[in-house]
Amino acid sequence: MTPREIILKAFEQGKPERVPVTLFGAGMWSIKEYGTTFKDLSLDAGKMADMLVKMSGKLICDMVYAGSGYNNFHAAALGGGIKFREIGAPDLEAHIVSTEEDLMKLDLSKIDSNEVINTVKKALRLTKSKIGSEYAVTMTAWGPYTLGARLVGEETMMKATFKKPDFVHKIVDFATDLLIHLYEPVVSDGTLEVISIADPTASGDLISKKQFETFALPYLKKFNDWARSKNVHTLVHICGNTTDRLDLFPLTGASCISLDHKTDIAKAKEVLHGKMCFGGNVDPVKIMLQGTVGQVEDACRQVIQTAGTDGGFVLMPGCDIPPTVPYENIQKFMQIAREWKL
Amino acid sequence: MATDEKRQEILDKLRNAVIQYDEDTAKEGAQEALDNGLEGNDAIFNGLVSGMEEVGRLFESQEYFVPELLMCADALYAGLDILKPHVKKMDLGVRGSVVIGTVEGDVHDIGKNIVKMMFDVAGFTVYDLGRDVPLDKFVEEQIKTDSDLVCLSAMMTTTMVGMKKVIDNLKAKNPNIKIMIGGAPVSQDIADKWGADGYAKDANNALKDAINMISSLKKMKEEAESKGG
Repeated sequence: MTPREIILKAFEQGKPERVPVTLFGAGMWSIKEYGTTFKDLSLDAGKMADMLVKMSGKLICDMVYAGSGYNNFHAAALGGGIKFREIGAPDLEAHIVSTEEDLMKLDLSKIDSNEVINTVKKALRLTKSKIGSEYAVTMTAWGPYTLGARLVGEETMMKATFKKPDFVHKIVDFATDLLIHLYEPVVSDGTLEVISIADPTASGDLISKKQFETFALPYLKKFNDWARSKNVHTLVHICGNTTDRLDLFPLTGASCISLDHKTDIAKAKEVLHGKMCFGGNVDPVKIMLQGTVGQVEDACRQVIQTAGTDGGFVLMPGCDIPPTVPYENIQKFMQIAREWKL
Repeated sequence: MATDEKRQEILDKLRNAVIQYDEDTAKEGAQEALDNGLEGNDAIFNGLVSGMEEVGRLFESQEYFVPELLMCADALYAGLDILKPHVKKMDLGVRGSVVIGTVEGDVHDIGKNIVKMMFDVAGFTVYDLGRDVPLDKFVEEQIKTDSDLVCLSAMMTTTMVGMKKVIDNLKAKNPNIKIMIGGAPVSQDIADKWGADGYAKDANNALKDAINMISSLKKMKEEAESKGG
């Protein structure tokens, strides 16, 4: 089986021949390792694809993520400026929605003509044509709640969940439509078979289970149901400790939920196995960044032993990794899964 | 002066306004406190801050999350804005001035803002550099303001590494400076390794630590008052 077949089998809750394994995004690590910057690649699809292909050869990760680190362009394309920086991913200069009127004025089709988004899509297609039969090539974005919060501002949105809940629903629903509009062309031409989204603002450390259920879940479901109707898998990462709301994740309709290292992985197995695929959850800082190769090995073995021997599981770090994670640690991470036969 | 009973009623009102994130009641309570001759400090610490302590407990036990906390903070500020002009300058024997910010590349400033609020309440002079702060800016601002404490926040695994550079630079310039770091990906281990003096474990504990600090300031204040009075 190819790495692509292996991870897709897990997404379908099957038991592949070995433990599937992937980082999440890893744009910042890859771009640093390749020796370039977000800005440098932002209008050069050929170079972006070359970076993805070369880094894929180095990481031998079952999935390859186009657009990791470029998520803020999806909001910026509608009318905000973007700031490139020496450290960190490009960010929005300012939030672009304050009122419902502002929201009504936004034009979704603007993302079709955004140069950076189109560069990412072109790089995605190029990468797919080069290594797409071997690896599952995906394109990343923020999840609906996070993208909505990017539009209005995180604090504003969180307060609005009490002061103007209807407005929050409209924003998150709009963000969902924005995501569908973004992905539609690369889904309908058959480029994408997996979509990966991260919803960090819907983190278990930030919002309550009740708020997650009210403001994040319905829109994740709307998006994932759309993807499913197009026969495309979805990998959704939620940050923070989500142990208290694991039971809600099958309701998102995602193929695979990627769990933060704070979440109880044994409990995740108990709640999720047989209902959906899940991924996790090696500590990206304590183990991946600061741990020795031996500690990486121990941590991977422990997670697989606890949650990953019956299929429907992908070995992942608990979040995206810092750009300074030692390569040896990533190599060991991949090796443990690749050698673990199921 | 208010009777003990009236005083307690007003303090409870302020406390509950913060817990129930009710800005209007917080304003009302603050005005009542002034109208009834309560000390500004009394109303702040035994009313508003006492409420925030309970909020901290609710946050710890995961009954409250960040959105609730932001609402409570608004209620606290609503009361504080009215009371603060009437507060006698506190002499706590602490030269509280603090530089605070979220490190370069990171735009997450909610946790930082909550910690900042507690410093505000405690009467510290706060130099808030905001978010996505260039690393050298922390050093410049500390030197410029001669602050005793620098607080660095990072919320992403991808940006936290900038903290080490700031700590090294600050310590090189001034070995006596105190540095506190916080944010989801940071740990005590990292604080120790990178040479930070203090560590706020995550959003939950940043608040708890800030509250602990305020509580100990409160205690110092009470001691100072009992000696003075």
